[in-house]
Amino acid sequence: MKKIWSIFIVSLVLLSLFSVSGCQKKEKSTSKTVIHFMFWGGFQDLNLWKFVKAKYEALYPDREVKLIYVPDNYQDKLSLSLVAKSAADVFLVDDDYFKITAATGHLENLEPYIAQCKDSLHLDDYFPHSLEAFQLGGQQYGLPWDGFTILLFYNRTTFDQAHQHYPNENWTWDDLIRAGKAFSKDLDGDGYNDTFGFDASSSLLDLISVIWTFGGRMFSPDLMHCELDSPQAIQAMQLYHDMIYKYKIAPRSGQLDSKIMQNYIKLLTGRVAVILSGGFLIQQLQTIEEELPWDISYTPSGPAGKFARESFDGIALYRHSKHKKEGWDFIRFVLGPVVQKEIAREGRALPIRKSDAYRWYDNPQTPQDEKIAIRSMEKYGRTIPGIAYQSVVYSRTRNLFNQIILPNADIPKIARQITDIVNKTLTEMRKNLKVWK
Amino acid sequence: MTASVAFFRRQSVQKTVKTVLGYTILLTLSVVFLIPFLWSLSASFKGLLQVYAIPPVWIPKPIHWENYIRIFKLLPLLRFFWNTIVITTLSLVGQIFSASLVAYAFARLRWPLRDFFFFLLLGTMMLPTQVTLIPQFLLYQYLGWMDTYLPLIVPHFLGISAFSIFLLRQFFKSVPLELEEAARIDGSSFFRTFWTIILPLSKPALATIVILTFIQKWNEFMPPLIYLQTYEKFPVSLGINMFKDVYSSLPHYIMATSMVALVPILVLFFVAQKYFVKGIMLSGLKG
Amino acid sequence: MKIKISRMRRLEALSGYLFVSPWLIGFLMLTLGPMLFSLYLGFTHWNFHEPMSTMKFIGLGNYKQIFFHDPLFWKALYNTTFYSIFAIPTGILFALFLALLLNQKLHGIAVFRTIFYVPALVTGVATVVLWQWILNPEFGILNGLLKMIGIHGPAWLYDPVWTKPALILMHLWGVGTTMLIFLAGLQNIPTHLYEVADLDGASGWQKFLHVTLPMLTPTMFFNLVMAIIGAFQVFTVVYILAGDGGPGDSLLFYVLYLYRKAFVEFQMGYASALAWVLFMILFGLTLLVFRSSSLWVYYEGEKR
Repeated sequence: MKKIWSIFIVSLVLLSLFSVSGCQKKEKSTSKTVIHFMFWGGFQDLNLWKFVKAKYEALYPDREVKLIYVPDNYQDKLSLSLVAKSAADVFLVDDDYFKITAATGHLENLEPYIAQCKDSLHLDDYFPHSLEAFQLGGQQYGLPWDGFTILLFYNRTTFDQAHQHYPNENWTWDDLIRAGKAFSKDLDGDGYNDTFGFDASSSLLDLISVIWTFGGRMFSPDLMHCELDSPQAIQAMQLYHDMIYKYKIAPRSGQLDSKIMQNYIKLLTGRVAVILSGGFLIQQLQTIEEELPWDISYTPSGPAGKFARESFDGIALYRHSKHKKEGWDFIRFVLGPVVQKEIAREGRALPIRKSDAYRWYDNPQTPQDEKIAIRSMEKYGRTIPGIAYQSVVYSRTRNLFNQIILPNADIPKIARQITDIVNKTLTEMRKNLKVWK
Repeated sequence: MTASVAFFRRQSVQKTVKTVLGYTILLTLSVVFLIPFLWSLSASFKGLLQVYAIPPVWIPKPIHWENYIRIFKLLPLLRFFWNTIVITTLSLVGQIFSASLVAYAFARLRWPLRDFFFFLLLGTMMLPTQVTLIPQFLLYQYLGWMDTYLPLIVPHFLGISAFSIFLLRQFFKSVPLELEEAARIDGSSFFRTFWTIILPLSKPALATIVILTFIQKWNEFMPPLIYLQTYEKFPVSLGINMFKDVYSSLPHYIMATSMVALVPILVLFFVAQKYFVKGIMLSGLKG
Repeated sequence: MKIKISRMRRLEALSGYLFVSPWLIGFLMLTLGPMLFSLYLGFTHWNFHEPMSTMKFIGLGNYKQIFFHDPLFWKALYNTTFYSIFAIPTGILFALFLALLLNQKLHGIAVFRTIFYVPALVTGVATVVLWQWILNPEFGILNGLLKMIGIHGPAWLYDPVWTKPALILMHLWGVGTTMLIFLAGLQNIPTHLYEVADLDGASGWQKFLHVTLPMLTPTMFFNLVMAIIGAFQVFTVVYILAGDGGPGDSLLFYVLYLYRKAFVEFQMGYASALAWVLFMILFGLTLLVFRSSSLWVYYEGEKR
């Protein structure tokens, strides 16, 4: 009896202690200007931002940065804080959700700020299409701070063993198919290949690069209609389907599922000779201790040229921030040489300026030529034009895209269904929002 | 004489068969239930490449013992564990306290609107939390409880777990009425009856609530994610997520952290077995 | 005498409110407001990125859309109902079977109880990844075992027909909590009842039917209500396994659809209406179970 009471009292004391300690921390920092910065990522990102905080505070001793780290479900938490009008002063924005956040008035228009710092920002040195990804109505409402493109990763040993030439900048889809046939073998005699030349995933984000190389595109230039049912788009989708069923150089769905076996494992274990993946994979593979025979090259070209899908991370200033000047200084700092060099050194993404990338990202000590990643972004990089309902479009069409790699897929029909859904979503978006691109 | 000997011999044979059968089934099912746990355990000792190898590798070659040390170096895991302990313990105290009191009111006391409120209680479990997320967030912000443990702990002192209340209500209703009435006639107050009769006889139910609440709070993810801002206050459940970022993950570290987090739960579970005391000795009561 | 009884009644009523006050305070302070807010939201159109002033009252507009113009709603409802109809009884019966197994006075039973409960403890993502392995049509253990007995296993998570059965299988594996509650219920049965039954010469099966089951009905009642409420609100597993709804939208469960509408498509009003439709369904079902309970649930010393 007495023991239970003492536990109860002790816990009440602890409880009050913790609520009190919360208040104390608030009082401690009223002497300095505090800006809140919200970000996503893993522990490496946390370390990066701790570095940024330390350097920024050293530069501005009367300011303090409060790091708000969101280890998962970033967009949910950001949305909640926006509804509650208590968002951080500066926060990262995902390129899928940028336009809706900007279109609903939560972001500060950065044009006036940029006008004052044009000389130090060197916006003309930014990788192509990076700035557009964070514009609304042609005005900058956010700024990109790093990015990467999709690259081709291949297994050198597999190529050596099959006496195939390594991929190079001139590679086309035909080259891939030709080489792929040499790698795709049925080892256990069950009628299905067990090693493959390629890993074809038919999500929108993977297929769009292929569609571009055939001359197709997601939207009409005025962003009013979806053009995924064009002959070129259908041709691209058909190509991926054929890789699995006609040329038999890629696994069927379920055979080497990427949820169970990540694509780089397939590559490194020799199951698949070539994969397409984002440039972030370079750093991840380079941290594996063992010497592994992988290398990078450019994505294959199609009849309409060579394109590699780019992805950028953005940073924005909260419209209702009470410390806009300090927040803008923080953004400028992130885009400045100290932080950009650190980003390049870490290697998980490219710094946002071309010259910085050439200067700092290429690592002469690694066997792979990282300049390929830089050149790929500079010469062949392309983005999907952003619209406010980007996430909605992706969500509603995901299932249909997955159907493309099913055995009896009627590609033209699927393409038409996808286009239909996207067009309906565009109409809905235009009805609900005044500004949407 | 011989008949009864034969009877008892038959009984002991039957008993042995039953025991052997019992153990066989238990062992077979144990293997089935343990496979994923064993896979997680073996994954926690692997290097990044081996985790997803096909065919699956059960014994890692080489065994990366250092995974378990590295996770503590890469993250402030000890701090996270302490945070989890604080949140869980305080919630547990609040839960037992409030759930048992409230359950008693629904189980044994008669008061106006009782059944209406009981349905209201059940109703709170029927609305998916996704739609109450926004108003709750606004409420806690208004109260000034952001970035504290208050939104995580206080609700447990206020009967937030309809599950626990409902469960205890069922068990309290099963306590023989005669015992209670005897105590009441002896002049015992409602609270004394609750404390001395109902609670001691509901040990299995209370042990269950302790285990379930503990596990729920130990692994709880969304509320800490939403309400906490300072990462030093994170519980382990959020800490584990730090081993993955937007594009990649480190599954061997995730598994190692999960294993370490699992140990206290297993210990608690094992210890709580003591309270699953079989049966209630009620000799002399049912005549 | 009369005055004493009415005073006792009032004292009991007062005590009742006193005992229930923690919940009542919590409900009024923390729960009721948000619930009413979401109820109101169900009658509005609101993209929650926009300020609350843009919330447009549209009466039954959302509900009309749900019932008459939303094929995905019916799909989600069908998926969830199909799953629930099979998962609830099999889950409860399997949990009961396990609890009975673990209720024996065997040496080291505490170890087995811990082992059987482990599945309920392994973190969500790990479990899902593992089951994707086990259920893989090519190299998964399940189809491997089936092949040994001559059955060509289906494509499980890749076949729209077999995704829900796969999920039911995963559910059975994780019935630890239900099992635990049954175990507590079994432990709560007074042993002297069994002794009396033994003296009357009852067989094991008769003891089960006439002592165990009746005494277990309060626990069974609890597990049934919780199973209904839980099955219809399945979310985490399908979110991790098939956030896109799975092959042919066969895994588009109700709460997943709701989450999508709320957070991916920003339509809080519509999602709230969906939530309250689910509420109505669950309320109705629970009411049914409660009404029927007087027929089959037995509490020791009832009538209160």
